[in-house]
Amino acid sequence: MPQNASAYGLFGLGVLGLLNGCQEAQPDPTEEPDPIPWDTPETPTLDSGRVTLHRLNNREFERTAQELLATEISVSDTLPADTIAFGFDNNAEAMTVSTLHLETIESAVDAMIADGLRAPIFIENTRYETEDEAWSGGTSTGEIGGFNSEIYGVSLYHGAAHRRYITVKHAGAYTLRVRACHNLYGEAGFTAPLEFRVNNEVLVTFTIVADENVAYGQHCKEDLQTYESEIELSEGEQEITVNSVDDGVVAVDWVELEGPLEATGELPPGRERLYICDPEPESGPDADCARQIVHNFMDEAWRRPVSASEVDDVMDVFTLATENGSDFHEGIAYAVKRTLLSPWFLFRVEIPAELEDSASQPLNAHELAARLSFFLWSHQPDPELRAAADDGSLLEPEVLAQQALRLLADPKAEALVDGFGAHWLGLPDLQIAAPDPTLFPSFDEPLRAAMDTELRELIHRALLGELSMVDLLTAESTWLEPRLAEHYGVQNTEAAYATVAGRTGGGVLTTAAFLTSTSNTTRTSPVRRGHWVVSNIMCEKPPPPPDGVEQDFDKSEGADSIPEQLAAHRANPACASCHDQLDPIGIALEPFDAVGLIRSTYPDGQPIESSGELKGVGKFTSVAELAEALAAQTRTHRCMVQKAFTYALGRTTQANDWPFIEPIEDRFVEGGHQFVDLMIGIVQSDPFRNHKGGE
Amino acid sequence: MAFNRRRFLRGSAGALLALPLLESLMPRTVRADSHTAPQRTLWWWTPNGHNMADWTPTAFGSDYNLSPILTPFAPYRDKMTVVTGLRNYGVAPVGVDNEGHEGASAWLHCTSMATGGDISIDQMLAAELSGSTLFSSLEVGMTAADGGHPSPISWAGTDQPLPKVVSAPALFARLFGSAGTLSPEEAERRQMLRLSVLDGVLDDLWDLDARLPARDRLKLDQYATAIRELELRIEQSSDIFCDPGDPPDEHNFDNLCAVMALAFECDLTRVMTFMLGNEGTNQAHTHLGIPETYHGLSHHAWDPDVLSKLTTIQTWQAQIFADSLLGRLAGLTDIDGKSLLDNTTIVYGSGLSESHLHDNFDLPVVLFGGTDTFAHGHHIDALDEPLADLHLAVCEATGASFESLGLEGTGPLAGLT
Repeated sequence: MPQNASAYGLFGLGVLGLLNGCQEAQPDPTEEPDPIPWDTPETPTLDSGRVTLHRLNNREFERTAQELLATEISVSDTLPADTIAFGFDNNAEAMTVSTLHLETIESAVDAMIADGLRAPIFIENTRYETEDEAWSGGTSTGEIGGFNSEIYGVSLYHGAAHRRYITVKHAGAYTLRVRACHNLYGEAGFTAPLEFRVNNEVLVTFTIVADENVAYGQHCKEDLQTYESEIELSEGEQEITVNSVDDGVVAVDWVELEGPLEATGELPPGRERLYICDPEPESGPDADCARQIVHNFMDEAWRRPVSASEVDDVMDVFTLATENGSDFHEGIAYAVKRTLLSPWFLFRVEIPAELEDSASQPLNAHELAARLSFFLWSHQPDPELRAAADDGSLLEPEVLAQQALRLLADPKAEALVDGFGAHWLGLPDLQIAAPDPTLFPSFDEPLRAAMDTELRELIHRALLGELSMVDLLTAESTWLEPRLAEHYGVQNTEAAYATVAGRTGGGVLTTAAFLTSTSNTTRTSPVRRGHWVVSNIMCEKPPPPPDGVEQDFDKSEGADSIPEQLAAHRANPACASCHDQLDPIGIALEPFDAVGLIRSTYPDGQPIESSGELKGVGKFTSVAELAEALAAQTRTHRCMVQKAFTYALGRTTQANDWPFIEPIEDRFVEGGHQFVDLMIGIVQSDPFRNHKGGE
Repeated sequence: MAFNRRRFLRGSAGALLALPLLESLMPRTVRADSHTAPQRTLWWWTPNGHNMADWTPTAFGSDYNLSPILTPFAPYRDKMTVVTGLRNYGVAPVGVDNEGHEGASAWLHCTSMATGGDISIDQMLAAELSGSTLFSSLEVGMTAADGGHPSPISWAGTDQPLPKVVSAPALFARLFGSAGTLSPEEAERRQMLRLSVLDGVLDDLWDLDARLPARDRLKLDQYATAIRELELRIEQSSDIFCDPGDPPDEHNFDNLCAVMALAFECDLTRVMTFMLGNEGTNQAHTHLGIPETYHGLSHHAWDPDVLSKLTTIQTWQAQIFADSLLGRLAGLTDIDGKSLLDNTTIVYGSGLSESHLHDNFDLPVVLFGGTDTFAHGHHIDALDEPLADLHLAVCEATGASFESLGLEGTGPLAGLT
């Protein structure tokens, strides 16, 4: 297997995040632990590796298809959740395809096409003459207003109801008009109610008035008036009813519906985007125009110039559809569906020029463009990037760097916050955190959302804003929404950046999101927190604890206190080798409870002692000091490179990557730990620009 | 219609992708038009093992007393067999640390996760029965994310975990579609065009296949297999008549069980797997008065208070299964006049036994239903035979014979029939 081991095989406990136990005694770690062991090969062969055929993950699929079809339909929740492997949801090895995937992708594509390529909607006016056979139930149909009035309609005596089914093509507001008269021989000024119902629910009650200027006995001949009201209709088949009430007598000539009033008749955005020529539907399916539309769409969706024979293949569906009853637009819709279900859209296809050659070979410019845009945007290349691929200039490192900088400055780069930062720093875990409502009654969904936003803002500033990557650990200020401010006990009515006493200089480590998602439901878990820092900030993999060790603390009355248990832990040589690394970090974070609030004692009244020492890192007496020490560690910087590299390529790092990663790390550190340096270093590296055949 | 939809078959069958193409296109051999009822199989899995002291009945044979956790199964005592003493060492040899949680992923393929797993028994059975029902198998779960490990129990092959449907409304929609008002002609026209789109996509896969390295071709192969399975289903779907009633209005456990029972009742599938949670789930059980995380509790260190909480949780798991699924199947009458439970074999269990130690021996298993085949009413000791052999015995109840499964399964477990 090319990428060391299987993404699933390596699912081992390292990914479970459950490693809060002991370990068999190991050789004492050196005073200054080596940075991540890269297993540097004795004779480095410059092998820049290969990324397995990469299916678009849910985020990439949704964003790209939405743009292609100019729709905002959200579909990612309907697809099977992406597997998170090596910390991220874009690992090519872990991205499988099953029948369930295909079914849900097909449904998503159908829904997006239906919305994006929908027909323009016009305001239409439909009149329903009440003497038509489609109606039934009225007292009598025929001439209303007397013999030879030549006004045909329905009379509704004493509560009679006249009803029919109509089909509403588009939901929305409609103007309802009813032509009706008071139909009793009586005094001028008589009134009678007329109800209009949809599916038997009264929407409007009109008051039908006999005009006092009309002679007795002549009302319905000379007194027909149009009554008007605005109603809301939903889409589909509905029953409409007009009826009189009690002993009222009303005649109705017709009912009219005009709408939907919101309709503009404008070309919907999806058609606007796709229809680069004007089809002439009156003269039958316009195959030339269809071909232009399909060709243009395929070029974009498949992220490369397609060949004439490829267009032929897709046009087969258009032809088949239009020969079998589809109009032009439906034919296009089928061709679009065919294009989007193709592996050329659903996968990031990279074809080695030398299929049998397992030596590194460069990607072509379009493949490189796709790697770049999916890394920085979770999205397909835009026209400018495509142009740089079309003329081949993207293969020049300077042009590649220019394009990368441009993409990073674009609002679409916000996808890095979700795809890279949020996964790296554990925001998905916050979504499933469930603090015990008895012990932490203040925890609710708005608070969860505010916690999420706080960490998200920090990530945003570190990747796309004014902060550096190490500021993730040491940032002074934080983003406070009112709900979170209330939680932290600070006055704050407007969302803003603020410094909060006891939380300055701790960056992610003092965010409620981190502190909550690494706690158990009833209490903090120092070992989980320590493990999180060691594995996510320093990229070290403590081996899993042996079976049957105490993996939880404080489970019952009379148990030792957490500090005592942790101390016992480290007094045991079998445990100490790992827990000397994990526990001091967890202890430094003990001043924060399981929902991230500052505390000075444990629930049992014992004081919290939070100072400690970490081998190779040094002593600290507060979170800020711990954060500062971690931020100065070489292994922390290297870990940031490793995480970004893993995300950028959609594959895990391996021994062969070391010669390529080292210069990226140098550039990153020398430039002051800016994400932009890290990013440029990665995209200009051989592993990012190359692939290979063989295997 | 004057076009050959199955262009891809012409002269190129099997030439490019090494797929069991023709097999999956074979017509259905069995349909419910005879009065022989189909035999269904369901593997029902619960996370984080069991408190074995409260799971294991104290006596063997037919005179055993139901243990505390098994008490909810009392009404089904004559349609169930408690099997203790099964091992699953294929995951990892005994004594290797932490094999236990991986036992979850390996519950149905009984091989090592270190090499990416292998095809699981449910998928072997599904392939064997392919073509007899609209869905060769269904993979269902209660939740997508609960703090546990997202790895599934159903595997199409090495490195091919199968995603599960985790919503009652979504499962219903998958099985029964949405109520359509199309004329038969229009429905047929659309079906023809839909199949033509999928055929075109298969052509693209064909073209690409020759141009990519082997590892990439595995992904194309997965996609091609999915397309062919969907095509087969589209072609069959117009023959299916079953009135499922109204779709469920929300996702909850009982609704999900109702849809699963419908799938069996309507003979839309004969093979299902179900996961109550993910292995290592950190969910709390506040509705049972237990706010602590389940995985934390499962490392109980023999603390009596914690063990009693585990028993409470695991008894509740058995109770909801008995109420929502066993009860439903027992109350439905199949075409042969028996209950659906009689014609369904269910394996109820966990991937590990003693959770504190991650044990992968003495696994907790109860076998339900399949009453034509199994002689129920006993608690039997499997004497450290492989779990894989139990799976093989279950398949025999459907008439499917496999010679082996995983690293240890060599033949059906004796003593069950």
